[in-house]
Amino acid sequence: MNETTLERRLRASGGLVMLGLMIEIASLTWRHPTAFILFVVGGGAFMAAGMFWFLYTIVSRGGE
Amino acid sequence: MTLLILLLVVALLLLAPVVLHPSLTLRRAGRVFAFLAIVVVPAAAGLAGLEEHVERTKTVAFCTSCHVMQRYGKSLHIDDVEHLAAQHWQYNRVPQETACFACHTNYTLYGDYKAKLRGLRHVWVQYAGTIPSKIELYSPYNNRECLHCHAGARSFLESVTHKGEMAAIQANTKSCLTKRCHGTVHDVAQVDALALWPKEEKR
Repeated sequence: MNETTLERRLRASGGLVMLGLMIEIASLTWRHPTAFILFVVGGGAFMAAGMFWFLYTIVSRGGE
Repeated sequence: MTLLILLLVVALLLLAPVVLHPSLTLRRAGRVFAFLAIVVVPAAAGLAGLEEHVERTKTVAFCTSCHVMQRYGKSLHIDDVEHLAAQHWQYNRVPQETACFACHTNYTLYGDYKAKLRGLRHVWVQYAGTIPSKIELYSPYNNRECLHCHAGARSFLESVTHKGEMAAIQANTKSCLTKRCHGTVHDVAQVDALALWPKEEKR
């Protein structure tokens, strides 16, 4: 994996986690059952995807 | 809440260098920082946020934010001690802010989690399913939930009626909510016609 690909992947994973955090902050300003769903399904999914993508990136780079 | 938002914002700010300058991970310290910023801090902030949301789900305001539950919330204000839910709420026999949850969780090892999972299903039904015309419990109300607080209480133990039925009450073979005992819980059919407490509040 060249440096550019690595940087792109890191930027993407960081961006996904950022998006997830922003959704979670937004959901916390709203007191409604839908906010809970938004937190778990929206925020949680983006954060998990970003973390997974980051871990996958560093693990796959280590194998090269 | 403020601390939680602060934690989430800090987590967001820590991500900025990784997103703007991913080349910092070329150095060892940068990789450690990226791991903290992308995995550790957001995970901690996310768990704290989840805890806050779960605590909110226990409030009466949360339960009654769905239209179908509003009459049940209103029934807590019925000005008649024969109405079990109203009596518990008005005399602080359950925490007023979390009254629904106090009685509608199972006092078992995984009772809270099961209650939350049922709550998720209710949200799903609210948006994607068909709300039943009559809301019913999943299973008959278990005396265990009542005895969680009342067992050992003098008022409960010394009641002549309870003394005669103690074995059946404890074995859950005779429900506390039997018609002749505490049969009126949430009289949602009549709630609009009944007097409410406090009187000055319009609901």
